Amino acid sequence: MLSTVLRIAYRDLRRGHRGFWIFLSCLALGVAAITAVMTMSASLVNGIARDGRILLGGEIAIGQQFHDLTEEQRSGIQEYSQTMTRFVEMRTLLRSEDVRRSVLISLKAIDDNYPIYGEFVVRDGGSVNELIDRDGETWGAIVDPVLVDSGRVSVGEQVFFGNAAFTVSGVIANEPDRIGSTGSFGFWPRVIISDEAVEEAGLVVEGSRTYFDYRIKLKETVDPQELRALLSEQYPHLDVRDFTNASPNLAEVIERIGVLLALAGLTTLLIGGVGVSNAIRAYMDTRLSTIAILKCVGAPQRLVFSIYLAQILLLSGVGIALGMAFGISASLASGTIIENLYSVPIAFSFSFPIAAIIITYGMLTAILFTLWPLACALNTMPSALFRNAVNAEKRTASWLYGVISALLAVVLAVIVIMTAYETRFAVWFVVCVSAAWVAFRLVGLIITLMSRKFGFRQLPALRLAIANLHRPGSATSDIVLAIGLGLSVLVATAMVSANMDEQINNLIPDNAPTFFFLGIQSEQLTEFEELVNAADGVSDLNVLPYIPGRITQIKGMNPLDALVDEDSRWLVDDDGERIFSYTADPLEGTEVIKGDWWDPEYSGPPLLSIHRDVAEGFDVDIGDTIAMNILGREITGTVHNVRDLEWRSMRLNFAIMLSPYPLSTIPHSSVGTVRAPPEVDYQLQERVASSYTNITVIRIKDALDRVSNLMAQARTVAGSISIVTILAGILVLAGIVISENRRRAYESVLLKTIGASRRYVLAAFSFEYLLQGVITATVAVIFGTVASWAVVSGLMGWDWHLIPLPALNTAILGLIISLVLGMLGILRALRHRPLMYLRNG
Amino acid sequence: MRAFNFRGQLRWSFCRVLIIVCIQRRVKKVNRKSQSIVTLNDLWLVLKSQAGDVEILRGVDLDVPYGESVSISGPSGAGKTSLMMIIGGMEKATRGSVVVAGVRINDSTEEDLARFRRQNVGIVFQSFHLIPTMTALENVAIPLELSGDKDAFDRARNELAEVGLLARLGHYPSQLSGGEQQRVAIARALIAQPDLILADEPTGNLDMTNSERIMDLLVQRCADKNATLLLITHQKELARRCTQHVEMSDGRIMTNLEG
Repeated sequence: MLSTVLRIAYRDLRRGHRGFWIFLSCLALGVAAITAVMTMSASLVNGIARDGRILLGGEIAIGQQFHDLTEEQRSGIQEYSQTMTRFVEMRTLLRSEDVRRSVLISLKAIDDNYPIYGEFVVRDGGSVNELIDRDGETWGAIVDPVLVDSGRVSVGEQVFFGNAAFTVSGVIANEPDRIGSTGSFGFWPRVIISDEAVEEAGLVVEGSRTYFDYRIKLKETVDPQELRALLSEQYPHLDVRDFTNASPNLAEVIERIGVLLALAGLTTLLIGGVGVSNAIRAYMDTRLSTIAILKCVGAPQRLVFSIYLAQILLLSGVGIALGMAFGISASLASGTIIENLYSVPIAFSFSFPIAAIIITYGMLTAILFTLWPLACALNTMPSALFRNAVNAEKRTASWLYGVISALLAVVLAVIVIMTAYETRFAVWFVVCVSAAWVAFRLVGLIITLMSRKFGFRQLPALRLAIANLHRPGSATSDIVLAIGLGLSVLVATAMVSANMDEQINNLIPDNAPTFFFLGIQSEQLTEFEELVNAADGVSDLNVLPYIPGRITQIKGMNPLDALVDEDSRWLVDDDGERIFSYTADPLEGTEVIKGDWWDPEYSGPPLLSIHRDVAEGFDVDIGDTIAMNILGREITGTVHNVRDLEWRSMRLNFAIMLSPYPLSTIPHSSVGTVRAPPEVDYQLQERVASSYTNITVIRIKDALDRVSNLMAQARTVAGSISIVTILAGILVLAGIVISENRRRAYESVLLKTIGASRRYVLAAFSFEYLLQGVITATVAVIFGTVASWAVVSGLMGWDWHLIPLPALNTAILGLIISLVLGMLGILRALRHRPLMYLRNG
Repeated sequence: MRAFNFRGQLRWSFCRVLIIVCIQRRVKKVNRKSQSIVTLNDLWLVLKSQAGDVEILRGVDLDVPYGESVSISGPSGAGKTSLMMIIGGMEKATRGSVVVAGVRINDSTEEDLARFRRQNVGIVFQSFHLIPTMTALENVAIPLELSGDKDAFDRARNELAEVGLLARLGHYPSQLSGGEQQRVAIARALIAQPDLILADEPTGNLDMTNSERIMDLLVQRCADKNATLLLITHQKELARRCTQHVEMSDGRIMTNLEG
């Protein structure tokens, strides 16, 4: 039986493959999008794993903030080491002679052993150690290309860090361990100097926010992971990592983004599914006679079904293979670009599980979208051959095929959810896509039903257009679905982008501070305040204690056990280190919503003022206790009030504030904010940075510019994916236009035969596409807007704003594309010679 | 004592079964001359439409003996094609009994009807209805392929040789003339050696010369294969070649004459 099925399937396919390019393109495009995203994501993660030693800069990384390792710790580690390098990292101000070009940078001061793994490359060549060495009065500094390209500094220019002068001696072309940098040091432009220079500059002083890092190449007999476990146990306060997990944050970000993009790819595949369905319907229409003939000569229904299912599976296999090949090529090409642009290691990876997931997605989608048209075609009665009525029959399929299709859709949804990084988001995705699917099908149905009601007798062209919307076999429903889904994605992307822009633009409220100052020591406080206040026009200097610690118990329970709202997990997860502060007086800009503030003179046991997120996240109320370990001391406080505040006001504030005692008796640093008018802000920055080398000055506008740049890159990726999605929509539409070409050509010939002008025919058909397009675009704007709201407020947790212009622009663009494609199809149909159609009918 | 020879016993049992089947088929062939291949009793076909029920066939009774050739004629809408579709198991009668080749097909399932057609019926259409993606040889071989016949292509080649198309084996329908296509269709209808050939206006799309040739061929091949021919035609000359003439009108058989 199988050989008969395959033989007949091949024979039938041999000369009947016209029109399959739409089927193959739609399936291949969706599969290619998923393949490219999944391969790229896996290649990045594998690259990070493969180059773990280079990214980390050693087999083991040990470091801590504020204090260097003790002699005892160093010699303890030395036992296992073959080679060791030490460097310090800090955020500090690169001061230029023109104060307006001063900028916050991430400084890395290295020793002669750096780097142990990988190669540090300078743009115009040269040895790193020679370039950073002292040359006469100044030390050398190798700077991030961003600084040179943006015109902040130029090679040969003199700049200042702390108390020392430096000459920009080179531009970084490759810093091998940049990605494995600790904390946010990777965020700011990098500058490399020597460890001797940093000492001379006076930047490493007690209390300065310096990170002391060690990278070690181990003796061959030492197992890195075992050693990491041992050191972590031996020195619990040290940050110890091994090369197998060089950059956990980056790997996590890549996986998260990968899943988001894979879902966008899946949307493309689903839109392509409409094209697949349409292509199969068109193909099966050409096979109805064959089906009827096969039945006439005694082929059982099961055999006929198997023949066409085999064809579909074969074609799907080809489509999936093409898509995978295209996706792999795309990921290889983009991988090379990313590797060169961002120095991210890429280890090309296309594993069996990835291939299995892609093939499953592709096959499930292909079968899901072809089963119903296939089943409908199989219902062709052999008796239709007697009356040459094969194409005139209205066909439907057994409910069983509907049930199987629904089950396949459920299986697809379950796989999407199970393979997603964030289950909650995947569930939302499935719900939204299903809702959009149903909604656009309903819209298609409503258009069809409504068009039956209207005649427009005065305008025959319009009447014909409306009649075409509901005639038997009309593609209205498919066009609405394919274009609608594609446009919805595009509108949603545009709206999310616009909201991101607005968010960043509005991130700085009018009364936001101009600077953040980190690491102000207690003994510097009075002098610092005097210095800042002396500047013309500055206002609202606000300084609060900044004391790291961790929450150890909430209401007598382990904090994770007390957690009731996942949104508050950040307070207690990771290493659990959070910042606490204290104040006697209520903070400006906060509103006490439960309880009251403590007496300014209060000096009893610690009282707590907690933010409402803490109260709701851990179900904490007035009178409950929270225990903290602050600088080695166990402090238990009682909740005295719950307050609300606007985080985005950028005023200094903390989730948990304590009454002054006993924190005020512990040595600690402070953090400050100040507002300064634009004409003095650079001078103030220069004055603070040059007076206090340990204080980090963060200009908020610079930080936001960096965030904007990162957002712009994210938007580019999202934009390119949404373009692929709309491309799928266009392909589907093209398929429909092509499959309708013969019908349109026949209708236009008939219309011309009875005296209709070419312009009339063109107008009638154009009206049809215009009506479909306008209604679809309108619904897509609504859906895309709702989806953007879900993403912005649900996923990102930001305020969402209705920004109509980008949505409308996108919808109009989609409308124009669909109209142009439709018109091209019509013009093609109009070119046909009447004789051909009238003779063969 | 001799050991029990299992394989020998099995071979002997198989031979006995084969002999019995052959004898039965022989008896059946001898007996069937005296039987009817088609027996219709009070056959009704009522189709539902928005305008109300339409009675297509109204109490048709018909007996067609094995080996006969029967022409069915009548005006458009008389029910000729519907009658043929019911006999071929492609349409279900609303009421009445349909027995074809000894099989009562009224209540048969789709699968049973497919098997019934494969074994008992060959059909020739006015519009030929060859599978456009298959060659002449493949079109003819397909009924045998469906039955799992290993010699399908050899037999199809012989059958096409019989209808004079040995030189056209690898041609696709679009590369054949109307007359050639109909000859392929006749070869396809006859290749599985069915007892009944249904021909619906087989010369309707052909010119006079080709019509004569095709009709000659059809009658000759049916005679060669001892197949019963049920022929719908408007042409009296063609109808005269049949041994029995049925005239239909308004869903009923008006006359049923021996030729």
